[in-house]
Amino acid sequence: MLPSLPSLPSRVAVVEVPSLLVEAARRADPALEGAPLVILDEARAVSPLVLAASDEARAGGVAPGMVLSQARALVPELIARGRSRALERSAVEALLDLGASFSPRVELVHAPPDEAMRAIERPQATLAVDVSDLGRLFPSEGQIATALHLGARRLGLDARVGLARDKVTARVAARAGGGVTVVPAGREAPFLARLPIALLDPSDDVRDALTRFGVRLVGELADLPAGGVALRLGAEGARLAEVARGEAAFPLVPRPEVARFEEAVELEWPVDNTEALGFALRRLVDNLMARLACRSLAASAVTLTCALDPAFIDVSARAGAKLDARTVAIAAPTRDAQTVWQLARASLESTPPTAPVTALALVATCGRARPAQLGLFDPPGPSPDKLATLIARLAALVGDGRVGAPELRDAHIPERMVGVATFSPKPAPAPAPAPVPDSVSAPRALALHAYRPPVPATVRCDRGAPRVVESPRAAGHVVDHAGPFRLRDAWWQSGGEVTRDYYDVELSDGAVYRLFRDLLAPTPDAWFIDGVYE
Amino acid sequence: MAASPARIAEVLAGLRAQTARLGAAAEARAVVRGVVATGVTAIDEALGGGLPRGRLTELVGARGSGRLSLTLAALAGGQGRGELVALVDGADALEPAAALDAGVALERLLWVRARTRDEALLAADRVLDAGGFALVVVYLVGAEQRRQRKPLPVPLPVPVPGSPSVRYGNGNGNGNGSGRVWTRLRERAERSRAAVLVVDDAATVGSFAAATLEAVRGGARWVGRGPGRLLDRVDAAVVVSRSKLGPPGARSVVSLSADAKSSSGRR
Repeated sequence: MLPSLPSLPSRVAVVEVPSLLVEAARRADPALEGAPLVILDEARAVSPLVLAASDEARAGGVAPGMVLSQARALVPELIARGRSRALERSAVEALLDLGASFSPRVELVHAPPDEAMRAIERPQATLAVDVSDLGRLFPSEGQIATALHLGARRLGLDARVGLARDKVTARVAARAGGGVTVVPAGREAPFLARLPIALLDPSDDVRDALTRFGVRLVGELADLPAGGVALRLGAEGARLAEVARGEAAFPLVPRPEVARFEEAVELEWPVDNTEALGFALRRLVDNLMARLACRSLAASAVTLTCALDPAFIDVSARAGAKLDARTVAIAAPTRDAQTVWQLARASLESTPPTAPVTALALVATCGRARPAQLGLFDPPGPSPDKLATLIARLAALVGDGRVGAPELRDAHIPERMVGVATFSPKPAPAPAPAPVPDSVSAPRALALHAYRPPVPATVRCDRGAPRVVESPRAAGHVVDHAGPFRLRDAWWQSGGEVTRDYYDVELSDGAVYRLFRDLLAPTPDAWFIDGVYE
Repeated sequence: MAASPARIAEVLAGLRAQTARLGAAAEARAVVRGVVATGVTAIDEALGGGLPRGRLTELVGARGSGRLSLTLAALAGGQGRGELVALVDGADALEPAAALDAGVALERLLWVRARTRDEALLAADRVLDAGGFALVVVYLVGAEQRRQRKPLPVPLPVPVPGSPSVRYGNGNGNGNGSGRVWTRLRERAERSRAAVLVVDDAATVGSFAAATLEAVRGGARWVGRGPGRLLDRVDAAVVVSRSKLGPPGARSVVSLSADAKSSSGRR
């Protein structure tokens, strides 16, 4: 009979972003950091209301619910931004990624609704993470909470973290502390006792009733008899009293895993040049790659969707052309932001959107970076991660299909024998013996420096043999030659047949070239220089 | 319980094998700190064993002087210890068959088919930045000077007098190998401990290179008569025209055999 495992005490960390609307805007535009910022409800065309205000704006007296003109009168340098649900969704998803990087059991306790929001609603986002069994990874609970706090910072979110026995206590701890607060196991009631009752988030009715009873601290509520509280304040009062006594049991409701990595931004005005789009895109890529890093994933492709300004779209265009979606393949999975950004920007520059862009969305298709263990006895080489990133960066620079290992293809015509295979070097073979010193006359293989494409040339012949060659790359009298050597390829394919006569020709400039005459070209005497022996 | 003699012998044999492997690994790491042998003995000796790691070496010469053949020989030498090598091909000039015949293991060669000289220099910068390559060849022979979106800062190189056989500048007045570019590549090479071989028409790396090798064209040799006439070989010589690693002037004659690559050979 197997011994039963000891049950771990429940420990829950809550990460709360107090002002999600402000943080989401700052995450998309780091220049807003430290500035007095308000987020407006743009549903009201006239006198838009302030939905959320940054600490800097609040310090000047600005509060949610004011109209913009009131706020500007208080803080003239105020920066106002419209509410962007796309940014908020991205920020909430980033918060979920942070939780998932610690535990598969995460619950989004609270997030601002997508529909129009009243100014008095709380605009925070709250995430609960089951951290019960992280003792082997972190020496103390304080370090778990600190790691969550720093992780949120890396994702561009200013959050507060609380860690306690249940999610409600942890949430109260997060709000009470401001930074990182840990409530030791069994110390819930003493910790809560000195906190104001408002931190339990009671409804207006219950708060008024408790005020009438003279109950202002959580400890005072805990001291009241349970039956009397339930009788006078109903189910909500009983629940709050349980929390106050440290007896509440609120199980975590884990969120099903959703593997979608999307970052989006709504631009303040339509953008019609690719350089500005690239600038806006950079922040999306940075945020997306930070999220993938949270999950130890890499992007194998990204899909960039541009929402086009309807005013500029040709009415004759097909329906549904308001979006410009493109998938940018990445040569090897990577989370190197520079690489992904370069690839996406190159795609925009090669095929610009047909109308000004009003919003951008970037979705990552995920893969794992190549798992491989470097051998102790192998020669040093690039790590798989670095190699994948390198190949992706090189492909972004020189183009797809131009980076890899050379491949010799089965063909007869030289240019058809050239291919590029994926560069994935296998573990090194056993070290070869040291090269034996050779004699100075030992022959080596002669290589051809190929001209791609072959260079057209004018060749004057005498009795079928080339005598003079003229071309932009090489010109001169023929000193010696060998050939012709006839090559035929793909004669079995309609339209694909190639028949050429090849020559090796030493010109008066001293170099030896490879020439061919295309026998199937529409023009007679179609000569080309294929390369020079180098 | 005492171990049997057979068991003791087996354990000893295992220990000896493990010690030998550790010795080989230590030797390989010692090599990493040193040079990459090109396989051309006179050159290797003149350079102190081969292309120096962490430094730039330059190979220049006229058209048809065997620079690509020597490059492939160096790449094959760089793979001798099982390490990876890279060829940044500024002219997209490589034929895989030629690399194979030169003894290069294709699957351990990273080939970057750049379209311009600037692209090649940027690609080399990235390869060196990633690290892990024993030898990085920047092949700029015949590379085009195309205008780029973000051109590199390219002040004209300063001609260095006193070397009549070596021209400075790339011959078309657009000296792409600016000091800034080579300084950066040299720093990258030092950091990644890779040997960097820059192959070009004329010397542009200048004093940033630890040594400048010059390939000198010999003659072509032909065999047979009439329709059976074939290109047999091309002779070349390699001269160390400038070196910070030893006295310059070393000369090595190399015979480049056309037995497999030429159209004659394919026939």
